[in-house]
Amino acid sequence: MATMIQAIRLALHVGESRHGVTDIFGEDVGPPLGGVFTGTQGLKTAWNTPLDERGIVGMAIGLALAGQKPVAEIQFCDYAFNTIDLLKVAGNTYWSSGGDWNVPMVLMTPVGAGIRGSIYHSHSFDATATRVPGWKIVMPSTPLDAYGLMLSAIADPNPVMFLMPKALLRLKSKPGEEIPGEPGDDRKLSQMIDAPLGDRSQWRPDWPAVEDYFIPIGQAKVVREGSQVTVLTYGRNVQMSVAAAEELAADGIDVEIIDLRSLHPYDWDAIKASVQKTNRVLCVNEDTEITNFGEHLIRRITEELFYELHAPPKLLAGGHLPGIGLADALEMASVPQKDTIRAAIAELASHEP
Amino acid sequence: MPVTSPIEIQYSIAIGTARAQRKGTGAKGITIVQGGDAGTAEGDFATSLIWSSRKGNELPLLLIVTNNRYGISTPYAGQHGYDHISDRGKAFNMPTAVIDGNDPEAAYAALETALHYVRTERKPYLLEAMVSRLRGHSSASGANPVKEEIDCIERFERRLEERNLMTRSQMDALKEKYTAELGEAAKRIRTEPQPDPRSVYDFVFADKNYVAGEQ
Ligand SMILES: Cc1ncc(C[n+]2csc(CCOP(=O)(O)OP(=O)(O)O)c2C)c(N)n1
Repeated sequence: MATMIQAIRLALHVGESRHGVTDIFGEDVGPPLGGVFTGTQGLKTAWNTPLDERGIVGMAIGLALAGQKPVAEIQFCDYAFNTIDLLKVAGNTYWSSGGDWNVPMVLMTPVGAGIRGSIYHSHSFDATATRVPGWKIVMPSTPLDAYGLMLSAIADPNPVMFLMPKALLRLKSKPGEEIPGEPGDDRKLSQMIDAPLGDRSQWRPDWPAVEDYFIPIGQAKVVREGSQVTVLTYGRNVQMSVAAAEELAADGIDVEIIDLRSLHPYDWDAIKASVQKTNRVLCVNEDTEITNFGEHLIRRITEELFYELHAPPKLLAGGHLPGIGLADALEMASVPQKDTIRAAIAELASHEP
Repeated sequence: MPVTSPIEIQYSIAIGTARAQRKGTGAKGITIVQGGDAGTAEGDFATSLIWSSRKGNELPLLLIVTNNRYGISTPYAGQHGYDHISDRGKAFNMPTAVIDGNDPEAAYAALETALHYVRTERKPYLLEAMVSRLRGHSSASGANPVKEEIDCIERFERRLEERNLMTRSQMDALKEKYTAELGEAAKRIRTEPQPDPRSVYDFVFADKNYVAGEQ
């Protein structure tokens, strides 16, 4: 079973061998390291850039405009904020050139809390990313979804942002969610594709014959069916929400959980169908709560499904804080946790109009 | 200034503190800004070179680059086309120097010269200190000591011993004292009670502390 980071690496390998990826680059992305999270080990088109995020994004836009297929990495999304004008350009070029110039690039970056990374290794980027029109934005919560979304991102003719929930990168997939063609044995997969410690100059990966597998951008996944409350979430909060729902099931509260997977475009049909069924909705994500993507979902739900709601829609998000606290207690108080999700669901479930 | 994590933003901020220090006749204050070699690729480094060297508007700024020839896993040659970071200062007409940063005496002397220049001329100076990388970066080579690198402390200790300025046992005693002090601090931090979760909302604003949306 591949971990999420191995799944991303496998998708990038498939991308560069079969889907035209020409350049995979970023800080410490090339050999010998292959990425601070190991996501780009052994890839033949991976190379190291200078320590310059604006250069990385500009390089990707330029390569894409010149007919190449770049996948660029920002080492932590916390360091992407000085690239926003370039991100805007990537998102507006097709539009402003009247359809003459599209920018087929992928920008991947680790996001979110959960590793006690404190102020600058814990930022979320979904609220910022969804404020930049012209981008498609995806965020997986399982290795297989990471694989399928990365391949779709690569195949897409637009700029696609691939947000990697860093707390889940080392998570293994569940049985039945294997990447088609991956060896069943973890140890074997690791021996094949993980770079050894120490001298790597002679090492070459032995790629398994993984198959193409595309998860369409814009398609959510119902990860748990339920009838009383809908939870709309993505990334790291999916598993937490599932765990909270399992606990609530014992109290007779039946929760439906939707992993959006794509934030833009997002799967309105799936959201609408679920809210029409449960009449109660909670949005959960880690970004700061003011001007949060969940607020947009709630606005649309309120506008379009108002008379179907039995309780005010609720947002559980990160505190409106300048950073994520470092001490355990402070990090946990900064962003949603299983217990706060459970409490929010329980409150919604018991709300009577 | 408080230390922060986005690499090189200190160079952009330093021009502001240096500008403040430029004000007033006979002003003596200067700004010292420091960063690594790889980080100088960020635009902020160029910002500080440009802003600090404007004719008639020079800033009292000492720029120090500690060059250990690596940024995480990326070697110097993979990032820079010039031999020395300090060469970049030459284009801005500022004095520059490259020193052995592993040698405390050389570093002291070079700093004295550079500080004197910035204090009296009220203009920028770019100092590049070549230093060891005694341990790898946590997310690359691990944090184990790198044997091939010169250990600046060991080397200095030998020098002190040769010149009979300190004995081995004096130095060992010093080391033990500080090792114990740090060990104590590490222990204390691990056993300290967790902070109150609500305190994460402290210090958001300088006047009145409040949680989002509260009045
Ligand atoms: C803007 C930004 N991008 C990326 C990082 C992640 N990062 C942390 S240390 C480092 C390398 C720094 O190398 P260098 O400037 O040479 O300093 P050294 O650590 O070698 O002293 C990187 C890329 C960061 N902290 N800030």
